[in-house]
Amino acid sequence: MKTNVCRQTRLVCSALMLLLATGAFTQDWSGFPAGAAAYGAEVSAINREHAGAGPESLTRFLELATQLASVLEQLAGDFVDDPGQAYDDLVAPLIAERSALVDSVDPANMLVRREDTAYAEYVDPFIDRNVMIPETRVRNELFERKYFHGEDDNGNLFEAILNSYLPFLRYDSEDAWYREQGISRFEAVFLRAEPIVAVWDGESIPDLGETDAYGALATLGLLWHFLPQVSQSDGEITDTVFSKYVKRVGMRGGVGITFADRPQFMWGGGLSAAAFTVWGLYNQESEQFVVAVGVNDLATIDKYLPWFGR
Amino acid sequence: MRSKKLVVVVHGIGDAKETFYRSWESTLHANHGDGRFDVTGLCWEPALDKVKERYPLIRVDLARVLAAYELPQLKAIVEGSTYKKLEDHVMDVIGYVGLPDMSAYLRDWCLNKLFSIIGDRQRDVVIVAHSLGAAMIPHILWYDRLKTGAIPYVGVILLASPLGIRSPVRGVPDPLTLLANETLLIRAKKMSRNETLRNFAKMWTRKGDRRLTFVINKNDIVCSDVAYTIGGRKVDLIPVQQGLSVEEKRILEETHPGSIKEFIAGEPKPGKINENHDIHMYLNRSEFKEAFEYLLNVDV
Repeated sequence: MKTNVCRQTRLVCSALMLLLATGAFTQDWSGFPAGAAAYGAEVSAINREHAGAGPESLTRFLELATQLASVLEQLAGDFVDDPGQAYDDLVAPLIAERSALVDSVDPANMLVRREDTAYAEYVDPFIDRNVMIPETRVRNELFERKYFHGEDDNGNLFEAILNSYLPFLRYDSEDAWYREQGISRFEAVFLRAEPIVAVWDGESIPDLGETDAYGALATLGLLWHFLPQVSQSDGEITDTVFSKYVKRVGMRGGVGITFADRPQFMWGGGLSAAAFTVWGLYNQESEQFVVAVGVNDLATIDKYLPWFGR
Repeated sequence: MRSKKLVVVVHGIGDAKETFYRSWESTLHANHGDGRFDVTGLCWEPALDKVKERYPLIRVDLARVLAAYELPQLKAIVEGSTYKKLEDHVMDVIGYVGLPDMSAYLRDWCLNKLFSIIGDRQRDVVIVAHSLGAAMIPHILWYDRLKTGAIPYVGVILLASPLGIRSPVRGVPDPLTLLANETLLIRAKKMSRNETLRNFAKMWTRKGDRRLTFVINKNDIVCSDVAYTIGGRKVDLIPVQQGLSVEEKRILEETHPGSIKEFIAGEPKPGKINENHDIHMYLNRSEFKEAFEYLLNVDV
């Protein structure tokens, strides 16, 4: 019997520890079966006192508490093949529903207060916070990958506004093929100043000693981020070759000038990968097609200026 | 025996260092005694700085490049201390409130940080937040409650909270709408400002009395609609609502009695803005001390 209880406890522990992917806390889970039983007993007592009286919202709230108590007791007492899955399937939806319903009941109602106290005392210590840690950790990591990856972090406020307000660019908890944990893989770049160097001017390779081989463009574009894969079961983040090395690809459009004796107007489009873009540009004045390579941000040349005595 | 409380203090806009909490700790211990509580700080400046660097008002490196090509004016502006201070303050607010993706990032970052600093002492935690921190903390606690069904913390005191600021632009969230709508990372039911405040207060009422306190200096421009006397005329320097309205305060008081503590300190003069918002002025006020003392003595 003792062995059986230990094994049950271990299973419940493992269910909850699965959610503790970061290992941020160490907690004693051995009291969980007793806590689930105590919560169930209190909910039963509350239901006996309630006996269907009061507003419908209260009845619904207590029905939900009864369901939750039943599931927790089941989880504490039964063997399950996949404890993590059992928690996700059975407990998490009830907690979410309870959170949504709790605003509709009077917080001063004594039965509500008693349920809340019991929940806080017997249930909350075992499930609270831990369920969020993998979720917030993973989402935070994905936000870091998208916006703060370290090679092309210099945007501007226009870009920030686009990425925060266009529905397909911003975070949304709705599922969509282009999202990972709600974070859109698309990102807009807008009003960037990007340096370029011509590598082929339609006829020959330009002389890099001449100023007209160089130019700058004002650009806009749409990027696709290769975000890492996230395991649905434990929130483990796994990089792919693309997420690790390429990171992002995209299309860009730009207008700008070459630094010739007299500025010459150019426009065109480009394909970018990581921090670089290959441009196909049309030089309006010389009516030449130019292939150029650019870095995605003018900031990149800031660190090389001292090489040129600037 | 009553457990020793862990006081988590949270800073607002500015340039806080990881050790910012030590001066708060000194004031709190001087006023409330040693040994009854520990103090730790939730410093979210590194995350705010990342947002500022990602989306600056004016790009410093761009200014440097332009200066290298005989256009030094922009560089002179962005490297000046006044501009740096202005950008620091403005971008903290824009980044947290005006850019929903950045808000989402910052909230997750702060939630992770909060968990890491409190460890398994959740049920001993008293949170004291100031300024922008007192707008961010309600967001992460609300999220916590929605996801887990309860908040384990003892209580929260919000000093000079800009939660009442009303967005002047339709579609751009303000701190209170951020609390309720789907930008809070989950598709919760959309609520009005009043409904949001009522439910936020309810969350604390379920825990017990006096668990939520807003401490407001009526001369503090961050949390009150202050009219300054300039040239003999009363002028509201910020033409949007920045404090909680009368109706919003009534809702808070009705739902969680005693949750609004207002006082008047300092003078309504533009030169006194910093003084009227100063954290130590708040920590030394009797309105704060009473609320804090109560939380030190209550069990979760």
